[in-house]
Amino acid sequence: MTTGTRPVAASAPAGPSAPGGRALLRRALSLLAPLAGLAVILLLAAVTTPGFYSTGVLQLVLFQIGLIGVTAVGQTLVLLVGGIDLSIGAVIGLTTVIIAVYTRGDGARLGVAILLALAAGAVVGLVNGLLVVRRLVPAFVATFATFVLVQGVITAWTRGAPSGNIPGALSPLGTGRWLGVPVPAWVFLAVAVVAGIVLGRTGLGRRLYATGANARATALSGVRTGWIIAGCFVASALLAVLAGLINAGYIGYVDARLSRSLDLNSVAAAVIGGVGLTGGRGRIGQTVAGVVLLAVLLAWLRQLGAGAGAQLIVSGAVILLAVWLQNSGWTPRSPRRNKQRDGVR
Amino acid sequence: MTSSTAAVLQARGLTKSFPGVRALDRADLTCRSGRVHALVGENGAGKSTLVRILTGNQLPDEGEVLLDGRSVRFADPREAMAEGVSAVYQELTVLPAMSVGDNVMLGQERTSRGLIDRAAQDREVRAALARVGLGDLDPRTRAEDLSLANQQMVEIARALVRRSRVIVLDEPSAVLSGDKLESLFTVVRGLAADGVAIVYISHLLEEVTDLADDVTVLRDGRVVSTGPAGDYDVPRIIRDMVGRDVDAVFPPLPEPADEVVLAVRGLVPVSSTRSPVALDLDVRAGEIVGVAGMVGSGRSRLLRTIAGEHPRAAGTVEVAGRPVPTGTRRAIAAGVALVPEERKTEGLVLPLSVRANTTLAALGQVLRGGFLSTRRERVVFQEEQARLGIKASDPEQGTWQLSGGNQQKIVLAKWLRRGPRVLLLDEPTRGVDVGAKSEIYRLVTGLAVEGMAVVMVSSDLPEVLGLSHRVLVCRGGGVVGELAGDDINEENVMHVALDTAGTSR
Repeated sequence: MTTGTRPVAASAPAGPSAPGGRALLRRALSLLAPLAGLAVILLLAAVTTPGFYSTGVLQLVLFQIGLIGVTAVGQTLVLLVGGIDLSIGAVIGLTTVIIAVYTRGDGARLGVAILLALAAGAVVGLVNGLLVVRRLVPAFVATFATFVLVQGVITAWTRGAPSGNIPGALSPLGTGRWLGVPVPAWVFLAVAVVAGIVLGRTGLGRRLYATGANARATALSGVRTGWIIAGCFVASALLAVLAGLINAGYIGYVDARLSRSLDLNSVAAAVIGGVGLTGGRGRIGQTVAGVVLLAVLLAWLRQLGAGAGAQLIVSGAVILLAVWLQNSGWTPRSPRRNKQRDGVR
Repeated sequence: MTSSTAAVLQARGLTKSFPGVRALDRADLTCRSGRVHALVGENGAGKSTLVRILTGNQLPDEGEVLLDGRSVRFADPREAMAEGVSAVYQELTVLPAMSVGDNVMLGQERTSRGLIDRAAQDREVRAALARVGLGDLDPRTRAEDLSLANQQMVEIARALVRRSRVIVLDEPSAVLSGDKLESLFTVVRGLAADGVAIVYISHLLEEVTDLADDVTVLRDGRVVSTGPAGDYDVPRIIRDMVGRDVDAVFPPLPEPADEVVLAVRGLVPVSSTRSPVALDLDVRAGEIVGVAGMVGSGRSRLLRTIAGEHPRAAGTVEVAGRPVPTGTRRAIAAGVALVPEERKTEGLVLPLSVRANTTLAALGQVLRGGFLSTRRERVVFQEEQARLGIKASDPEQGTWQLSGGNQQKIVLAKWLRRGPRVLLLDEPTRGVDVGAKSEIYRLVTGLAVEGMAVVMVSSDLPEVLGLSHRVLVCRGGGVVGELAGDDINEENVMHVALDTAGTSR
């Protein structure tokens, strides 16, 4: 017994081990809750809103899945390294404004406008990342500050009344279809697949998980944890720009307010899917499941005639429910929770 | 002066076991009011466990605590405080942003009709501060503006406000020096004169014999001896503290090669206060250098500085003749591996599998076509499992599920994948059971045989003595002595570590 040291075996939980053969099963099980929720909502929708299973609604749901999904992938990256990105909606708004103001509806200027939007997004992401990594500002505070700042920039720049046209050349990204499925859903699929491969199959992904689970031990193993964390914020901001382009292409005009609930929705989708809010826990597959669940839920509410207020209430309630479920042992046991429990004693 | 010798607080046959260790073994202790009772022992002798039980931070497996002769059972520190038993720990708990007065009264606020009664509180705070020699201090001063020494006094004042009859001081001198120490002694003597029973834990044996009325020496969780301070002198205390056989089996040490692998010149870690001593050190291939010293003597910081993690104020580090710049990554690239003291928070990413932890520092080895190959990772893990004898059911097992010894082997495995030239071990067997300890000793010796240069910091003296070609002794932030060959024995180490020659401080 040495001063100040907790006996080792005492805090090691007696949880089940995960032998290789059962790993796949456990993965499938972790998707069980969001998929069960999805089934329930689909059932309720069938009962309450007969028109739910029409092509029109389905198209809208797929578009929503695409839009929320692209931001949710970025949010997942940030959540995995233990952060949260609240500036996503602001970046989406900023993207729309940059496109409208710079192009003034001229498709020839669209390419440069997109580059400008990406650059602006990268700057926001970098600021977030630097605040978190170098100044140790909590991600919640840092990204909320940049959210307010960017909103202010938009308001000042557009004198509070954003106007302008989005070039028609962008509309295929928002309204186009391929094989009958909206382009945004395809974009989301591509983004999710790439992110899934990077997270699950590359050294970068492994380092990212390790950073989120224990940044200190990971840094001591020679990993540039600061770069990884900052990189996730930049990736999240760049994906928000992509979502902004989709959004601009879809609505065709500027409305900075439309995008605001996307911060919340991206967090909600990831958390419903089972991505941990404390870092290091969660997979893209879970995020995809959460995105589908949330998009279906929101579409159903809209079919029921619920307004924007009710949709926000439900998003908030769903996050609370998901977080509460996560903390009450519905996800596989993790040592983090046990540590906290020990600490309480 | 009081002549009261009533036993206020007594421990009777306290026993406390942790997995693999018996931290406390039928320990007795009698604290009398008006007397200073010194509790001494090596790191890990059981002092902290004993104190934790007395102050309600832990419950004993067996034995009882008597307060005024009646048996009590403190479920938490609050109960102990309510009965007048308080502790001031080495890690100060003063809240820096709050005023001295608020700190002193924290949890004891005097209220009238639900509001804090400032006037009454001020009177009480001033009275308590006066007793700890801070009568001139304005209670509205912010605690962060005080020196460490005075913050400690604020902690003691906090105990006084609670009308404590027993105050445990856990290494109060560790943050003090010179005249500050003298004023602490004055305060402690004053409290004793007022009838408070003091339990005083310290590593500085001179001050123990100066200050204490009674002495109890602990070793391996047992009370080795106890009696009035007059019966003790420094050599006897040391004899009682260390007098045991080296019971773990250490493998024979390899003959070091001539090649110097690690060369440290004039190394000074960036540190806050104490005037540091520059370190010059050559470690040859196959050589194991032990670093001894009390907790807080700067051993870990020295190791971390060599590992590039803690910044250098001065000096150079070379590995195999090539300079190692500061920075963890560069040090790792140069072939330096650090097995850190805090295994669970610094050594391992506990939520990840044992496979992922094993490959974390050398992911390049398990790539195939740019992608991670789980199959390769498993092969790597199984290789290390066989080489180090890691007891894990499966490569996918969660690292948090392993015992301390097996976790430590995973940390070792992680570094061995990189083939380091220099292995730095910080408390390699802390929280490791006896069986796994001797396995780790064998592994470390084996690595030395393969040509690694090993530097090992440990609070476990037998381990340092049994596993080292040379022993460096730290005190006050730097290395103050080196022992080699037949000079390596516990008493010599303790004499240097505790500065019993009285040369400095």
